[in-house]
Amino acid sequence: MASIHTERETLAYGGASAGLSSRWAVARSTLALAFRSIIVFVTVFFLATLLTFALQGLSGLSPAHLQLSESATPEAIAALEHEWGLDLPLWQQYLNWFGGIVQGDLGRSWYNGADISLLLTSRAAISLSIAGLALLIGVTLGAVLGITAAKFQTTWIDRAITTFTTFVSVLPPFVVGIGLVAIFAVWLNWFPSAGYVPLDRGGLGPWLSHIWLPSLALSMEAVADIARQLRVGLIQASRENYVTGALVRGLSSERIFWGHVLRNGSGPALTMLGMKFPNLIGGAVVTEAVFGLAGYGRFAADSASRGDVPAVQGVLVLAIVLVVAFNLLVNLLLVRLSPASARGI
Amino acid sequence: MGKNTKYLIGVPILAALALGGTLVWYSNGQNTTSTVTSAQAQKPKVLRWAALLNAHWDPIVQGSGYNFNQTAIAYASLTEIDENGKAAPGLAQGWTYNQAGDKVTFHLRPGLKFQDGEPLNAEAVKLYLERAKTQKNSALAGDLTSIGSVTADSDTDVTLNLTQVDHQIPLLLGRRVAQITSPKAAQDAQKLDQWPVGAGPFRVVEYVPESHIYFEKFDGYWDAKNIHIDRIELSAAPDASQLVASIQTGVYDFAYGLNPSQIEVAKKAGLDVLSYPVYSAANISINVRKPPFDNPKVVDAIRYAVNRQEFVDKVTFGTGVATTQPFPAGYVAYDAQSADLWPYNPEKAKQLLAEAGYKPGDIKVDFVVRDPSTANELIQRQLAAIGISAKLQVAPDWATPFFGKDLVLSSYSTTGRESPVQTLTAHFGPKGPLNLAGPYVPEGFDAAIKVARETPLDSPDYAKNLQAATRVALQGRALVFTYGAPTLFVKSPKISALPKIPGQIHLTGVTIAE
Repeated sequence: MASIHTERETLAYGGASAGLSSRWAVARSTLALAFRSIIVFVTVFFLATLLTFALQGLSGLSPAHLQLSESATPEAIAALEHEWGLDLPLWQQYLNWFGGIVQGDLGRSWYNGADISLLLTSRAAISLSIAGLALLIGVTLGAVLGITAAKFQTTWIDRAITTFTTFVSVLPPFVVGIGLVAIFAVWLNWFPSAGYVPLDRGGLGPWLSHIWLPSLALSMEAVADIARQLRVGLIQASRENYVTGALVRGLSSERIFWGHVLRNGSGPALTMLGMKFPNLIGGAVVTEAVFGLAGYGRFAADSASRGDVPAVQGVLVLAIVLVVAFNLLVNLLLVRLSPASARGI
Repeated sequence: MGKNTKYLIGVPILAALALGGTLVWYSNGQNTTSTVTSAQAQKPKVLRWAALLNAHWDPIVQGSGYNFNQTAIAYASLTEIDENGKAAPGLAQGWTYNQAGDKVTFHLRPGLKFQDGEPLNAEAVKLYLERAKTQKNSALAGDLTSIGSVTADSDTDVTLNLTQVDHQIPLLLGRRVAQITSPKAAQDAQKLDQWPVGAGPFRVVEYVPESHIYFEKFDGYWDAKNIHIDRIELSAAPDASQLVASIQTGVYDFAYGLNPSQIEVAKKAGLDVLSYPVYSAANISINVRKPPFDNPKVVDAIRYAVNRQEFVDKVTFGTGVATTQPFPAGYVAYDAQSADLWPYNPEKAKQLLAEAGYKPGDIKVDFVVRDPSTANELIQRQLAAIGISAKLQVAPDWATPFFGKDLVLSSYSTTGRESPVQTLTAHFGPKGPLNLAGPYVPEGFDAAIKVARETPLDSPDYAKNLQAATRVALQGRALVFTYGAPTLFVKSPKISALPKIPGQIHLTGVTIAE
């Protein structure tokens, strides 16, 4: 779409102002894209929070059993529910809740009465450290493996890499986690087996040594997925007619691969990456449990099993924001890589 | 080569470099770590403790479950118990009852202070007890029904005017129920619940809910000279399967609640596993106000159907004991005469059901429980063996119908009470939270428990009267006790053994070797 605009406006304004107007056109199309993205974001966010809020009504849970334990008489339960505003009509509860969300207030946990926004913020450093490093490992190893497999397609190298990625992708995270602890913590004593030290507490060394094993455990699936998607994407792209054309024109196969095939063949891997990061942040339940880390995944799982509805809703709101934001980000990247993909948004 | 393609290649290469650098850097880092270790000789003694962290840090909201042991890091209690379960001095160095036994005066140590500098005097104790009785979300109110009003007679003397003659008060006002909070901090009860302020051995310095809470030694604690730990780092425990590995590799030093299946692993890893007694037992809770359990023969059938040894073997891996009472054998309230009134006999159980007019499979009941534990599955299976079909349901909102006495069949496992009279009333009393059949009470229970409650702790009749109350209570049909499991501590050998106070974790006298 962007290229059509550019062409038209170049014709209209004539050659002299072509540079300026084409830049203006690019800016305009980017703005239009950003505007559309915001509309998508707001709509999805609104619908998803509505569904999230409905969870409370559907679950029929109450904070009483979490707080009163052996003192949960029917009168005490009623008093507590009144205190939490649970005796209000549902639509009013939703409005109160949604009003809080847009101001960054996710309410208080039924389990410990703590501010959920603060609880999530305090976990951000842990979850982002681990997911970030896992993503780095995933992208690096995945790209190296995927590109190698595609370059040496159908040889033993390709088959070995495919076997490895298949094996790694089916390993359950707790097996990887426990295995890594057994080897690197208990046996070799290289890394600590659990816990987390913030960057500002111990510096880079302790921080990195604590997040290394969980990140590695978490990255396995990303490595496998990225490698496989990249391999398939690259092989498909290398069979396109323009590759043959470029070869006939005498371009070196290296230049064709790095300059054209990689650019066109990396789309699927990039799309997958967009889905992967929110998954790494929120889906690390088992890894976080194995390594005793207070991250988002474990928080979500524990809150759900305790029936702490506001906490679960808080995590879901965060997840909605992350998923939608990352998808938009990847879409924007894809548009930069291959403008044709803008048609999708 | 396009600009974007350059990024596409550049980023992974940069990342790879960073990763490689990291590893090289880390291997250098290893040396740095060992230098730090040698410098630790002068460092403070730190206890790194892994646990399922408390949700609440206001003892009144936390309630009397096992986790009062975590709040006890920050708070000191009015009294303590010794290794035999007898009441001992705490913040109060002594107490005196009036002649009638309906007033008790506690004599506080002079000059006590809270961690925020406020004086810990009779007025502070009075305010605490009143708050525990009246605060809306108090989980302790039910434990304090014997206390009518409280008066501060002087700075150090506080008198409790009781609603009935009750000589159990010194046992009651121990760690489980009377961890005294700073009155100034308690003005904002919601804040206190997230930041404990007491007069205990340690004061909180950092807290991130469900992640960690750090404490440093509080020199104003009345027994501070016997505390040899400078700092406690209490962290959320890793998965049960990884607990041993994390202590073995030195991430943590100490944890309680080790899964019995991990005992061998822990011992092989060179860790200490200690078994600590608790005054508690697991039970099957039967609502005898509802059919089919309103028929005493059906209840008798369940009594004969329980194979307690199977619980000991499969749930506690042999660490627990089979029990028919809410106390361990040898405890002052344990009644030897009631040791085995209904021995395991499935044939007799089936015969009783037949006499009650039920054929195998006729009885189908909902068995609603809190968690999907092995113990609950065993109960279901043992009942199935005599022809009772119990449909096991794990309900997230289990507590509401359980404490509302709406369930027909359930199970419970309390952590016990320091006051044996309170243990009995909680289980068998008309308003007892653990009496699923309430207001049903065993015949003669009210009279027997009154006698026990009115017997002074040092009376020669104390044990006899308590045991008589237990005997009457156990004739009640609403509870069938199954097994008792000790608390398992796992620790690094560098931590010295903890005092063996039943049901409690005490750090008094505990040392940490280098």
